Amino acid sequence: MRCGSGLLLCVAACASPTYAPLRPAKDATGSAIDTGTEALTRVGERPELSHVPRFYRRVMLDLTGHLPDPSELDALSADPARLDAHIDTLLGHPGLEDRLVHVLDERWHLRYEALPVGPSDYGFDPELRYALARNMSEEPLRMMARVVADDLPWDTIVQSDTTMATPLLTQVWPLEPVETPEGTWAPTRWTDYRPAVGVLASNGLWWRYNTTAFNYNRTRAAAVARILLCTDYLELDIEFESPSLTDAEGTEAAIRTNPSCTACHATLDPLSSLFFGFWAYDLYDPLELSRYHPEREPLGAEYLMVEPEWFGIPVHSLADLATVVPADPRFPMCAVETFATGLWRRPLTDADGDMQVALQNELEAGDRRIWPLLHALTRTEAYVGDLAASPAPDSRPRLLGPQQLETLLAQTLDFDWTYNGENQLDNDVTGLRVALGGVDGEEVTAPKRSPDANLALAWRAVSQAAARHALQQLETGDCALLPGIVATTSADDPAFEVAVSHAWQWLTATEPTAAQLDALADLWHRAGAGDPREGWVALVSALLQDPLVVTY
Amino acid sequence: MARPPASPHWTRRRLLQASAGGAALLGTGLVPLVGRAASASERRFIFVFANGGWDLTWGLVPMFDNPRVDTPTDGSAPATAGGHVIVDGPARPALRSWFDRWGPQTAFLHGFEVRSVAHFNCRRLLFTGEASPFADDWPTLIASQGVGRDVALPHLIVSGPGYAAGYPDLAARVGEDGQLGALLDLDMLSRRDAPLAPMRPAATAAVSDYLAARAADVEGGAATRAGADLFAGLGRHQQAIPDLEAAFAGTRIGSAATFPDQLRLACDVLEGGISRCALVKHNAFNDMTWDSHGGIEGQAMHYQDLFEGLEVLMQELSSRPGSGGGTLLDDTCVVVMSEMSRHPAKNLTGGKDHWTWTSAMLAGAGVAGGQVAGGYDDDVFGLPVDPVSGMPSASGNILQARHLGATLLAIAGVDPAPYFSVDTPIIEALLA
Repeated sequence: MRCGSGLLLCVAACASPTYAPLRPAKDATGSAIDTGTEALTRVGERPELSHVPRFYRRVMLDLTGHLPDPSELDALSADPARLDAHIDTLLGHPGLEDRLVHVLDERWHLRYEALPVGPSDYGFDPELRYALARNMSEEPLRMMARVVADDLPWDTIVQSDTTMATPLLTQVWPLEPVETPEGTWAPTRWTDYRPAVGVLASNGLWWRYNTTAFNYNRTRAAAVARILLCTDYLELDIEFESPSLTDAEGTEAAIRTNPSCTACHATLDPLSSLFFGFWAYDLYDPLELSRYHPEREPLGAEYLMVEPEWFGIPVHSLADLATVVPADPRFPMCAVETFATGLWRRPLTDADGDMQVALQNELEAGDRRIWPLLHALTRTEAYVGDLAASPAPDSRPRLLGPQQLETLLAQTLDFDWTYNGENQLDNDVTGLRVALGGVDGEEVTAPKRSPDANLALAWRAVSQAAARHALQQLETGDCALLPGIVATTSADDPAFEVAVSHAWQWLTATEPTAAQLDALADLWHRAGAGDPREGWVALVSALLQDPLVVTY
Repeated sequence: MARPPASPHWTRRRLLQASAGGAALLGTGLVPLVGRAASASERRFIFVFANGGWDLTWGLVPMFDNPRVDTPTDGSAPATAGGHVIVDGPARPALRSWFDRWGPQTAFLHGFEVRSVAHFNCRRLLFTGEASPFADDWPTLIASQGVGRDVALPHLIVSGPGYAAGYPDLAARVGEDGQLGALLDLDMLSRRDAPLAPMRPAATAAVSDYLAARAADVEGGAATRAGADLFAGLGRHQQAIPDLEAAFAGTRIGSAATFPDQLRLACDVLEGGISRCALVKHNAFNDMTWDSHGGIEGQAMHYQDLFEGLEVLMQELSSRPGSGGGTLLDDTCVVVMSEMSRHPAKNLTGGKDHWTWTSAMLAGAGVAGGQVAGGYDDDVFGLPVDPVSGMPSASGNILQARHLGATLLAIAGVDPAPYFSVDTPIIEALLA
């Protein structure tokens, strides 16, 4: 169904709700939500900043993965009051969607390596492993990121009949073809009559959160609770009374009657029963896994012996989640938690409660569009952190992650690093994703917040590689990071100071002092030892490992 | 969180293994002589992770007399070796011989639960005791204390899972393709479709000196103490690279692909004072993993492969010098565990699905050799355990992975209390 709005994504929930909205006025922990009083609370003014360009660099890296251009920094320095106007332009930035894929993945944990199928299952060349894995695992993340980039309500992620795909993905999954260059994403729709429930009808989601034959989709239901509601069944404290589970009948009986079991299963199983359209009889058959099976939907009630529900609200089918999920008060709260964790670069604590409420009010005031929430987050003390004029003592800079580093290197040096088709900054099989602080979706589920030996070693290798690449550009005088420089230019040449100042400003959003420029010239002389090419390689490598580059 | 009294019907359940039968074998001459033992805070740890979920009833926990359990039918039978009752059979002779030699130095914790049946959840629960993505695993917590503070890479993940949220700078990974080795010698730059040459050593040294000065400069200008600490850490790790290169020069960092070689690398880094903890994954025979849904018979091969490797490990540890005139084994606690065990009954395809109650095996420094704590009931649930005696007790604690963690921390000389939000007693019976 197309809604005809001209937006890239379409919302199936144009249909009227089947059930009354869920408003139980209880959050996940049982505390009352008084929306009447909290509606007054909004996020206030941003704390005074100590360094506006450096702060804008933080915002850009967080929201787009890119560095501000030197011209942007100059404009901002000339008129710091236009900071928010600059931030508002980022909604249209081409890097926004890419960046949000990674921010969202820090909760959704979808960009993992161990997919159930590989290129050989489709007769593809082995070098397509990386592209296939990333395309498959990113599909739901791309869809959500596009919802944000298109400034649509967050509810869309569970209401759309449209997802995102690359041409490669449309070859292997039942999707309408997309007319876009390989490796780029475009909206498209499933062709196998799956319900219009956005990410909840996504292959990428259910391949990552699969189920065994005897788990009956419970892993999937638990994943939905964790990632959409921020309610984790695994963190519930349960006392077991040791029912017999050694036979199937005993297990099923216990799940329905034993209080220890029903504490979770009373809500988990009715939710699990909704996902049997994704039930696969062969967990390694690509075709079986790829297609939605509407004829298997009734298996839920048969296997689990419960009627489908969303936490006590009766529903008929998966399609009904398009209505009841957005009506669950935990859904917007969890959106706030997801994006706050992503931008604050730390988990939320009890002390964040008031701010969380204020942020949720910002989200609601913006019709649940994420952009107003993101903008509000940049005004919070937790986000400004060490860049406040009067910072909290425990605030500190953040470490660039691998996606930000990759983007920075592409932007400033047109550098990438692939090996047998694998992006070395974005895989863990042969590459450096985790070493550089990224998450792998399975074992590493939070980004690095402190440097370690792996990080230092990985940055050294990447910076040396990028510096060698820069030298190739300097041979033709075509290095955007160091304008006016060729490989044989000396540090004693007047062009040195101009070019290195430009690079310093671009990379750090600060101006170098004369002493800092002198130190770089000394490095150039010492490292080069008469060979200007080696001097430039060392200089670029040092610039890229600078503490003000590695952090933001 | 206090545990409620045990359900009365537990009293009808038998113990799987209720006593420590290994004590009688101590001093028989089968156990290597022990030198001066390292203090708890000096102890090293090697974690061996059996990936995929082992079937305890095929190797470590005989349950032949339990009709609810589909036990091996390959001619194997219960046997006592080194004081422990194990499953002995023709397809896994290494298991029996290992216990014959090392059983008196080995202890078990039986019947603790990882409350999930999904591998990725269970791995996290086993290693951290929590489902939260913001918890640290036992090796990292141990590495954060004692001699872990004085080594370059406090916890080296040779292979296997690692969870380090609070102390991410303490855990380092070798990487699936040996990336750490390739970063140390900069061979990584050749792993590019268009290979690039690293900088010359003199240039690398010049950059290192420059960065040291920059780190100090930025640290001094940091707006907050926490920021200064971060910049200091960055500089420290950048400056430590030459020492790290030197420390790894004599190790197998670039060539440890097999399970035995990875165990040797773990020994290298402990012996060389590079790490306090190391983790090695055992991916089962022929990299099949222990996840045996399609047929359970492979478990015998997996046990054989595991214990062949563990024999290499114990030989290496007992032949290398330790810190106090003894061997490295005197300083090192070996922990062998799997993220789950397997359902007592076979499924329709002759395999076994996931089971949340499991066991861990501890050997070496700090471990009360021959001890067995906990056990299983007829339903293959863990029995409640008295934490002091390790004996099943109706008024005892139902064990979870966090009890294993607390006990490991105690062996490492780390006070477990701050790391648990609920009451989590250590299993004192397992401590030497």
